[in-house]
Amino acid sequence: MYQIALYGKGGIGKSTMAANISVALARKGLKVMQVGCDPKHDSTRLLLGGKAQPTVLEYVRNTPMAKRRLEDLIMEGTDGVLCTEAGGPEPGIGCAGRGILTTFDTLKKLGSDKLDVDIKVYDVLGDVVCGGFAVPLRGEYADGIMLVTSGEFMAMYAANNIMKGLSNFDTGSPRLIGIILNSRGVEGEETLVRRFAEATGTEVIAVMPRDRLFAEAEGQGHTVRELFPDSDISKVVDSIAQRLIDVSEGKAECVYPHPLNDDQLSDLAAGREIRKAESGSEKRDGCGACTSCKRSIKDSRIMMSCAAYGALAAYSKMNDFAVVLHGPESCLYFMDTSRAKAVLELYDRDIFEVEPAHNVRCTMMDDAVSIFGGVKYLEKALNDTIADGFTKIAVVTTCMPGIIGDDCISVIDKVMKHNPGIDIQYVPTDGDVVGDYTDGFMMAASNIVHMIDTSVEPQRGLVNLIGTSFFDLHSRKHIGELDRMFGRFGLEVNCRFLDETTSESVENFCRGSIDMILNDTANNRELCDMIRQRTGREVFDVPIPVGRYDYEEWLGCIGDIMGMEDRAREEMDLVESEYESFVEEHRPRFKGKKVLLLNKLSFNIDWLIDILLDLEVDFIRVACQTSPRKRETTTVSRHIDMITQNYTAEMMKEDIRTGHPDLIISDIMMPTGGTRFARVGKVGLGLRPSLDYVVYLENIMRLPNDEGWKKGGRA
Amino acid sequence: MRRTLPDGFVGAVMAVESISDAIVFLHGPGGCRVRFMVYSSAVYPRMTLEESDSYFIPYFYGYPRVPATFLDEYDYINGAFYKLEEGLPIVDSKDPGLVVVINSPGAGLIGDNHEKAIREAHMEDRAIYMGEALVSMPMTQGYDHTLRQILEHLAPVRDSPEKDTVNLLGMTVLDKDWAAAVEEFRENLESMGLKVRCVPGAGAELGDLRDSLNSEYCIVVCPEACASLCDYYESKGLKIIRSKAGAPVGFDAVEGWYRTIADATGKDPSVPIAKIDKARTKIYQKFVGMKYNALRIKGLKFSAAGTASVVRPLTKWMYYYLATAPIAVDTDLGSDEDEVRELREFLESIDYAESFGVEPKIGSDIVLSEGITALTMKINGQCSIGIPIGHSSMGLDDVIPRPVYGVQGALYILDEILHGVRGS
Repeated sequence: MYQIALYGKGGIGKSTMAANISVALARKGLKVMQVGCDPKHDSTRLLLGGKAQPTVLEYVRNTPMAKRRLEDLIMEGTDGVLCTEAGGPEPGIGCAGRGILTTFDTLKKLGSDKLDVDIKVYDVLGDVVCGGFAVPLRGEYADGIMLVTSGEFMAMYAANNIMKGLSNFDTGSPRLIGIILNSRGVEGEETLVRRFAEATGTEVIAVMPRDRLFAEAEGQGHTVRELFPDSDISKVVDSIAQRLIDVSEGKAECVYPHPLNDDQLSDLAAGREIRKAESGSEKRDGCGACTSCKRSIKDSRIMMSCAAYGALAAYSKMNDFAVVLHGPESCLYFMDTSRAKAVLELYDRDIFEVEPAHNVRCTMMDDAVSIFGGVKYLEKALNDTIADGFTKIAVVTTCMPGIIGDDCISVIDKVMKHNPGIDIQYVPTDGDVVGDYTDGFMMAASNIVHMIDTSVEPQRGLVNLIGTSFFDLHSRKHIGELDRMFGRFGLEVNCRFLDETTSESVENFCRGSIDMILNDTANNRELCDMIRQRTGREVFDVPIPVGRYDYEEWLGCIGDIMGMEDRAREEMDLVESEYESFVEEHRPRFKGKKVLLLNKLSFNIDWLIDILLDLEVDFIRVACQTSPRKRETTTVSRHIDMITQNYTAEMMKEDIRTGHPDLIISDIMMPTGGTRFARVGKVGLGLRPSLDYVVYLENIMRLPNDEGWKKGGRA
Repeated sequence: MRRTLPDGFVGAVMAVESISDAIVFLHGPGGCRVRFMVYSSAVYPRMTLEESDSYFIPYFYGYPRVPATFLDEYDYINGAFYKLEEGLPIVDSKDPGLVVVINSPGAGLIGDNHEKAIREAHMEDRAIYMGEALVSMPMTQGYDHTLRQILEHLAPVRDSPEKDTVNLLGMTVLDKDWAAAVEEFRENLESMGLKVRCVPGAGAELGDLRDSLNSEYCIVVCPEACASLCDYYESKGLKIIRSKAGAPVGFDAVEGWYRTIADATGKDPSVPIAKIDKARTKIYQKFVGMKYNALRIKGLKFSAAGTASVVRPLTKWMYYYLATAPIAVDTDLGSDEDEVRELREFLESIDYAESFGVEPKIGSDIVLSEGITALTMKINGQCSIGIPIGHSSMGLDDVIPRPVYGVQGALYILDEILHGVRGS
């Protein structure tokens, strides 16, 4: 079987040409199949007496996979030509390219390749606008390509683009058969198209005159070749058919085209001499044809999470919000179950305060939705969520609606208009298009920040906590300790932004008179900036302390603010005394031990460096890994001079090999081999948790390094 | 309560991951990859301590399961064929027996030419591409379909059929504690003189799949997860055995399952039947010895949700064995139509027609469903006892065998119920 694809600008007459050629081929005794690949699905109409046939995509949408049959998709037209139409979405919605992919896949799976056909004609929409429309260019589909153009500039521009597309799908042998000029009566049209053909290294294989017979035949729902077999048009069509047969039999050759660049096209349009292409001027990033500019995964930002999940997680911290995830069920399954499982386990262990909610909905996008658009599904999901009693909803988008360009904003506006009092916030994360988990979290957070009512008056003694640190400070134990620390100074928490909070609490954020950063991470600093911009207030940027020195500094600052310096001094004395006696007791087990301390770039672990220095360990290195998220993020530390930044796994291997550490403390890389290893972990607030952590390190150094389980079944 | 279920995309990836010497090459973003990576490692752990160092290479980035192309915005606009082209040889360098390239839902919209990438990497003999719209399928169908595609690629030959050998069909690594269930079935079937040659989808290696055509029988565990596999094996001359009682869940269906196998193969089921009886006796003694147990349980209201071939025998067993009331019974998408019909007819026959098609109800005493739903309802006080019977237990929890299938499965469910009613 030989397969050809007819490409050309929309409206240029491809379908008319394809149908005529199919009839001509059939009348030469060949078994022909024509596949229409235009969403307007009228390619085969002239072969079916003017009738439209059901499309593959309609069929796929309405018929379960197990019940699909090839014969439902193929009709027999003039002279036995087998006809099928891809179909596609309404203009402006969905993804027609995805429709072509689905059509080809469906036909293949149903066995269209096994049909008794000598030649298959693909009639494909105009420009190569996306990967979907380029599918027929692939080697396994089109053995030969014909371009249909007129002398109009845009038609030649489209033909030129298809030549570029063709170079991206090089099969190792030339495939361009030539150009069919479908005359539009433009002045000097034939000369112009022949110049174009010559400049691109191909030829005009047929010139189709402008003739009323086309309209007459189409009016009757048939081809000229069928109704007027002796006409001049039919003779031209027959010559094209013969050319195809010759190519398929190896009697005529195809060529590699040399598509023109923009300057050359301008020369052509202006009637000027076409300038020579500069070497490499047609090379583009990512094109499959060239090697000098080939991309690699090393050029990508490696993200181990997606923004949609981050946005979902942010809104999940708002206990009165429902999230509508606009995407397939797979996304919901993994995001919601991952989050819910963690929450359930923490709640079960008495770590979470708020009962686990089940407030994530999904639009359940499937393949049909991705083709025809998913806005109706979004509207339904929003209405269902409102019916479930939610008045505050966040819409988070996954990759699919982002790629097909669903107009979510219009849907949200419509639903809000019909449901006064319902607040719907939109977070167009588009899966990982806007970035990773943290980017999505921050996008959502910036929406939530705008809920803060800046007209609310502050009240003395109320504190806002800014920051989030997943599965850490949520714990009742730590919150209890924080309450105790605040209680010493007569302070209470007003709003936790963003942790187990509510819309009301966020709206009344300004009731708090002090805004405090929870812990010093890059993300929390970003949250502080957002809040600073919204409220116009300065954030008290001494983080909630961990370890002796930060705690003492914090106590001093709070004492000053509250005018309670004596209370602060009293607490500092207690801290100092407990710390000194602890260090004295534990120093013997740490003194002189060689330690490799590795940390995430965005987390401040000064408390740990401090206490290890006081314990007199011998640091081989203190290092931070490069953050894959924020290239501009810098390490913040009082000990910046002793920190190696941009640390890599290779550097760690070398440090282990040459430094022989007694202990590796790391939150980013877990080494294999015989070195003792401890997680950095997240500790609680104040002094005591940091001391508990040192006890943990001490135990790691005293316990067997090779636990019995590591022997597996060999024990 | 509204349930969250996996779809055919999840099923397809996990079907490949169920084969220890095959690997998925996910054409998709890192976010999708990470979840599959964690899930695969959780439900089917297989990495050794020594292995991880060698995976700090592109596409794997430190983790051996589900390497991916880490699609980003550039790729969605410009296509990411370059990553397939570059990545396939790197994945191949780990010597998997088979690489299955699967698109994430978003990647399906780009139109990259996977076949060409496979061809250019000269991997046609050991790499395939799943081009279907997997998100449109139920999980079980995606799983089944993928296994069938893999089998067709392997093109096994029935060159030395062996009498009294069987394949177990319809099990997945998403089934709760699937490995324990396989072990129990294997042991009991061997006691009947039937050797389990292959369990496609639940730990079978490529060699097992190639060899599976030489089995005499295929025994269906859960029909939803093996509809097309059954067709495949039947077309190759293997005899399919399917129990009318549904999946082997609850003592009665487990007994029915073994008796069906015995009838079809002419074997003696006395050993597994004796084990079932022994378990029944144990429960009898628990109930008689602590008579309040039975009194506490009888009359409780339960919700059950899951695949129809599991939910039907479970509902019948809960009704007949414990005299508990089915107030909400729901089946997953993709459930076997006959099973669904029989379940509905059963509920009608016992005057609980209104319970059919109802998602787990707040106020149930017992909820048997996928883990997240059951546990969320339990923790929120929406039910007293939440028993995970489906996927998403993530494989982390069970050291002592606690599958849903088989005798152990029946004891697990009873164990949960007995613990739940203590002191009530």
